[in-house]
Amino acid sequence: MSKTNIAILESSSIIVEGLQKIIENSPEFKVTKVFRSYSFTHGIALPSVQILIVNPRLFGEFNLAKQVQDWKNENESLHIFAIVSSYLSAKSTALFDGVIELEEDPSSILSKLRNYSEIKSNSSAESCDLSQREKEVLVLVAKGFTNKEIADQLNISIHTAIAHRKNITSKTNIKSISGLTIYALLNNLISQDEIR
Amino acid sequence: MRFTEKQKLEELLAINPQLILMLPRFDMKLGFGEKRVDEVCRLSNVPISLFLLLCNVYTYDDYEPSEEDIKSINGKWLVKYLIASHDFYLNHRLKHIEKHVEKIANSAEKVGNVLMSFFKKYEDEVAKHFMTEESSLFPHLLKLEEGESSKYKLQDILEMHDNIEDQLSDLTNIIIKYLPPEIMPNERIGVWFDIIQLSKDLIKHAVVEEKILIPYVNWLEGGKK
Repeated sequence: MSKTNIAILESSSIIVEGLQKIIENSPEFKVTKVFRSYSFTHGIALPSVQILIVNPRLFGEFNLAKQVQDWKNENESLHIFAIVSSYLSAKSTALFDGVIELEEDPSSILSKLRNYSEIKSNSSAESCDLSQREKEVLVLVAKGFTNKEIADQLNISIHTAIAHRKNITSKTNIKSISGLTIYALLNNLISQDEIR
Repeated sequence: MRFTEKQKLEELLAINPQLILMLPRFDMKLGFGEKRVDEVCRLSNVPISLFLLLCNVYTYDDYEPSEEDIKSINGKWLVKYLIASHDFYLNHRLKHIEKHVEKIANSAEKVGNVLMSFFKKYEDEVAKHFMTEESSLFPHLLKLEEGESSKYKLQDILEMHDNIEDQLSDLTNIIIKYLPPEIMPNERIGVWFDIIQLSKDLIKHAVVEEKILIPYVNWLEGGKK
């Protein structure tokens, strides 16, 4: 149900606005951030962004590799596309998940971006139900226990407990504790008098 | 494209129908006929530049206010606008949504109570969130604007500020994805649209604060330099 958020780093307004127009013709995409220059890229690799489209010519070859790596480190699931108007070396091309050329028509650009979104939706479709362990964690969350208490009760590390919670939220799309409590009740994982 | 004061108000609304929400917040009346933006603003004594700035930020995601935009803000009207927005969210939209959630909760035996208390708790949080702004941030702004000193600091106020959108999105998920299918489907679809509309508006409200309110208070705190 959620849209794929796209950020663009490109100095040319013509290209930015053209891209934006093409991308937003497709309801599953939204351009959430536009950066006109390299110096204002704070927040470019935020977790809320899934695709980044970058003009590689804003960087030198060496800086480009380092920069792409930095963004990937900040946000592991970020997919980075290059937008190119001229020849890009094979070495630089290899840094990106895909390359968009200025001459390309809109449907081809969108299908490149969509290829990525399909990977994303397939991976979430495989695992829609909570695992047994996740259900146990969910019940304790709903009962109001902290991460530390949950870890102790289930004999797992606190990191594992936190990882389970993250998975529960990404599967159900419910973030708040009170929302998760309702989810647990609706799925008969706990009864009303068990809630603190 | 950006809006200008010589455009007819109806042209702005044709481009972004959501802007209709601006009018009551500025006490601007309907029935404006063919009038231009500047004419409609003058009728209600609303500062034209602030009205346009808000319409532009509300409509164009990539609109970044200029330094001039920020310096020429009329803080009293900005605060009036924000307080009226709060009132609209809390006393109109949320009350409306509450009535529908209540109907749904009443027929959802097992989770009805919990659903209702989830919603009430959310309302309380939103009220608290707005109250923090109205009792500290806005007075802070108005004092600085008058050249008086203020006991608050923007940074401290912002730290108390928390996110009020997560639970709204949880609520839509619960209502559409997780309540049993037989419970009031039409009511649920109706309220789903209401919540999405509110959450869109709340996101724009946050953008207005981030791009207009906070830079303006920052500028005031820096001694208008």
